[in-house]
Amino acid sequence: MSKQFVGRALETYDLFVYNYRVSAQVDTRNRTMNDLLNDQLASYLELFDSYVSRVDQPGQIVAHYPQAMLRKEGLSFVIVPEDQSRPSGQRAYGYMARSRYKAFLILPFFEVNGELLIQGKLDLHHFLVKGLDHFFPISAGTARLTFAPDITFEGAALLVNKDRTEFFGVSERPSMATRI
Amino acid sequence: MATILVIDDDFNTLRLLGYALERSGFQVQLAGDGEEGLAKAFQQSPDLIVLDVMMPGLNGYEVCRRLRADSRMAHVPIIILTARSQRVDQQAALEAGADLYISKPVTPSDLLKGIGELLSSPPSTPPPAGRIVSLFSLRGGVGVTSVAVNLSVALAQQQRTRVFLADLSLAAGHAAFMLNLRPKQTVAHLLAGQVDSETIQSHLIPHASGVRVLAAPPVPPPPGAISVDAIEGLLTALKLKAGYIVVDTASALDDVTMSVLGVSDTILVVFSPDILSLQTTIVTCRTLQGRGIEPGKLQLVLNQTMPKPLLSFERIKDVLQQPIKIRLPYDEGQSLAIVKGLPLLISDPTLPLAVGIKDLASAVSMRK
Repeated sequence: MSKQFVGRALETYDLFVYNYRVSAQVDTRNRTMNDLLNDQLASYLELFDSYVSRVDQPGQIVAHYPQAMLRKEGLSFVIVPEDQSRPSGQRAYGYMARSRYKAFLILPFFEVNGELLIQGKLDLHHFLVKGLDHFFPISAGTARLTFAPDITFEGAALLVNKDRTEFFGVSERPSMATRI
Repeated sequence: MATILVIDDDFNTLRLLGYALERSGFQVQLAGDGEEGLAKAFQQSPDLIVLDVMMPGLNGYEVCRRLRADSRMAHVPIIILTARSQRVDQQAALEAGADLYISKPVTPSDLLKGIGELLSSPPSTPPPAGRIVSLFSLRGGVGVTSVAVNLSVALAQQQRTRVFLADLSLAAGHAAFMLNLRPKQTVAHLLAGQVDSETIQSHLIPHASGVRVLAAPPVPPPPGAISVDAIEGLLTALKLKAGYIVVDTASALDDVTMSVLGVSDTILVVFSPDILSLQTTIVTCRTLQGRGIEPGKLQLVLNQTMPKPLLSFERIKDVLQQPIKIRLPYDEGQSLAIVKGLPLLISDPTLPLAVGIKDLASAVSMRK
């Protein structure tokens, strides 16, 4: 892919919208992807050098456009590195321990397995309903295509759209609390 | 020194890789997009191509498919470089015809290592047409398919050439299943349409071992749906694209199987150490020779499919009065390997059965 857009710090991400995969460059403007997706002042994500393929046909690129806009509401999840999954201000290490819950989610066309790391005890209702962020991280995430289960997408973290999460199951008890 | 063509739309990547490769002594050609890359490939005939995937216009997968569809480029090693780093992307790269997939960002040393591996036995001219090795038994249940699968893997590991596994047991083929592959396209789909380089490429399923599989249909095709001419044409086309074509045949001397055996360079007749299989093997050899198959093509493979053979090896040799090419020992793990779709050659290459298959592959590849 080309980095022909001068003055921008562009990184490539895989963004999943319904049953399409969009590989594109995003200018996070020195924020994290978590910040960008949860910025409620912007409904759209600006993409550069986008390559679109159907999720079950990665070898067929159906569209390529140097510039595009993607509606954040329509996103199911984005694969990101670990450091991009947290808000900018959040430290990698903290005084408060985090609990690690095994999580299973159902999104349109996908089932996701991974880990939810959260401070303190998890109140799932509160997390989903009261939490302000639309996108939350699932660590060590694997998204499996429902109608072709041998096709998976994995990443250090997946930023998952709460509004696209139809089912969210977590383990009853967290594994040993850990300082991440 | 070898000539390497790098095709990438990113100017910085082209510059960096070009510099690194030139420093390592390669002659380098650069192309900034797919169209230019194809033109340079056909004009300059590089020894190896490094190809980006996400390029405007003609993307890397399409460039790779077009290169592979042309007989001039069919044997040139291709490394696909891509920022798409998922397992499905690696699979897509292999399906498009790449020899190696490296995800970006790539260090020059990683790329050089990949190039070194691919060029370590470079053919200066395209290798001669591939050799067809068919496995056959008139008696089912003697392990023809499992030997075919493992033999393909062994040849892929030993030989620096493409290996195809064609499952032409059209009524009940299981080769893909034994490799944990779920084919969407089979030989029946291929033969229903036009058979050319591009369609063959799209119907071959790559396996992680390097073997590319042409799967049998899941249900028997209607009588007469697949003609002898179509099978012969297919095998002729496959010979141009691979060094070895291992064919799993049906347990019947029907027209399709006879046509396969007729064009095969080597026919491995597989049998088990029991009286019925032995008797069938004797009948098979006589029948095939009676139908014009050269005796020199026939090689006997004794596959011990049970813990204790019902006949001793010496007794078998006395009755056959023919040399047995190789004797494959029993392994209790073979049944589980079939169920798991993981050949023993991959899961435990040190087992005596796996070693036996490797010896068989060496013997097959040494025959002219």
